[in-house]
Amino acid sequence: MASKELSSFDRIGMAARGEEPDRVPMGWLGHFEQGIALPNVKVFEVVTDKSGRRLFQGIKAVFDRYNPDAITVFTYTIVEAVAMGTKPKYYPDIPPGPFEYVVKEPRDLDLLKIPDPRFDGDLPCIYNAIRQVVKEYGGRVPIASNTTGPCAVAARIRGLWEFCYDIMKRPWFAHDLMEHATQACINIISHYIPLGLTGIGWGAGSETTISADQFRKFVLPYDRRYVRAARKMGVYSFTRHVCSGPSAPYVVDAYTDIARDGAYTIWGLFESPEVMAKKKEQFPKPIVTGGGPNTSLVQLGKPAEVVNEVKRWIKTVAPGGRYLFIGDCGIPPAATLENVDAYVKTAKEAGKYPIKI
Amino acid sequence: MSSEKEILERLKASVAAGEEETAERLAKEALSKIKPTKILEAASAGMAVMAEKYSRNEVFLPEATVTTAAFYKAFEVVQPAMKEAAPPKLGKVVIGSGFGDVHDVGKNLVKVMLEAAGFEIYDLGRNVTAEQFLNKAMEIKADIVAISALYTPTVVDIRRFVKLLNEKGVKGKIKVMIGGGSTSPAIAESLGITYGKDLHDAVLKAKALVGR
Repeated sequence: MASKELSSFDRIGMAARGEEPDRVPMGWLGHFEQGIALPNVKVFEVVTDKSGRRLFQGIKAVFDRYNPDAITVFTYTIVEAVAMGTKPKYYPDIPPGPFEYVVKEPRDLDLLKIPDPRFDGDLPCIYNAIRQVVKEYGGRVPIASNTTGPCAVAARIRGLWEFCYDIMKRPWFAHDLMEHATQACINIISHYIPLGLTGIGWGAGSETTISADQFRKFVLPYDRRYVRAARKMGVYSFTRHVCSGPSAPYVVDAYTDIARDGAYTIWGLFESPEVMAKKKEQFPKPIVTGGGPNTSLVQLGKPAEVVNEVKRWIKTVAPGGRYLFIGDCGIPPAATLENVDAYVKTAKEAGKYPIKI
Repeated sequence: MSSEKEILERLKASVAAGEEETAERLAKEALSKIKPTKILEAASAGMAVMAEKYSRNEVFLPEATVTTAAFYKAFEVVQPAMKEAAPPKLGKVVIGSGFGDVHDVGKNLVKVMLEAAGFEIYDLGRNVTAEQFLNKAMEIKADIVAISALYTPTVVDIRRFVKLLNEKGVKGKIKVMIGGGSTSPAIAESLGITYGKDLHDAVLKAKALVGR
């Protein structure tokens, strides 16, 4: 156990090595950067602002209030597909959703270009916000960005339903989609990383709607290429989000096949702290688990309930390190500030090692 | 020549397996000698086989998409004949993903299951407000409003919808069923509405709500 307060880099480093730092590292808090924490700013105004200024302001507002140990610069989960032609529908208070997918039939894929994050769609918002975040916080905390990853991008240019149908009936085309999506993701991070990122992430809900076997066949080889490409660009810290679809408990195990080099965090909305603690035990040592209480409680519960639930997670999963307390999409945009305050404050106080809850 | 029972069993199996061409061919073959309602029942039974496996995490969305496609192949063959001698529908269902939610895969699966079970479906799509659900339900005199919610903020609007039904005095007449990742039996119980755990359960609950 460390006796003085550590830097965020040291704190995360120790936790990743399976040691107990001064306290549980606090990962990114998510969603708030999309404008929720900014007065009189709508989500669509943030995510479509190509200068990235509003996104940066939102990130700054969250960082200054909560001092997390990491920042992730990102906006919404169809942003790469929109840069390739999927039509979005924008909303004032929630992230955009897909309105019309760009690949209606196989030949449409041949017409798609690989997006350039400096110019295409809403990606410049992220690209330019990374510059500003690195300038302000570089060297103070690890700064990451991400794409939604090959599978989610494939599903968002094609439509998840159609992509799943392709897996069954036109596997060759499902692979074509994955190939294009992988190239797109690699090209995007090839522009992000040189701006000064220390970590790269990916992952969304699409891949948790397919079986573990389908995941191994249609997703894992492409994820592996994405990770290798990032490593060649000098990034060794990876965060893989496994969202809460029906096959999440199965596909999450598949990551043990590839996550054996580099610092590798798998974070997701595990159904309980007990399940996450068990996964932590089962995963090979380079893998760190991340996550926290369920979204419903953080939005709809009372602050006292949030406090109790955060303590339960910390008590169950934090001993022995290899655990990051990550809010991100576990904090719904409509969560009250009071609840988020309770969430963060409790994690920092109760998360002091050795855990004494 | 295949017996009636044999054809219907093969149709059921082909739908369950997602064999579109076989399902279409068998439905056509059956149409000359079997009542369309029975053919549709067999195709629906194929959907139910998939739904049960889906509920047990034995199959996932890819398998569900091909089963759905095979069901619709059979359905399209039978539908014209059904219109001529249409059996009474089980009830009218207004369905949609609730306000703030742009996910619709779960909603679409439930929609297909309810349609296969014999309900008349009015799909309002994604990000549907409480007012939109209410207006449509009143307009078509719906028996059930089915709301899907994967996104937690959606639950807030579901509460508002139930409040609106109370204010209009139609809560008992228009039944409400919810399902999806951010809903739970506890939320449903607190609102006095019905929770559908999965595809299979959603059909059972919907039937129970209309007394079938």
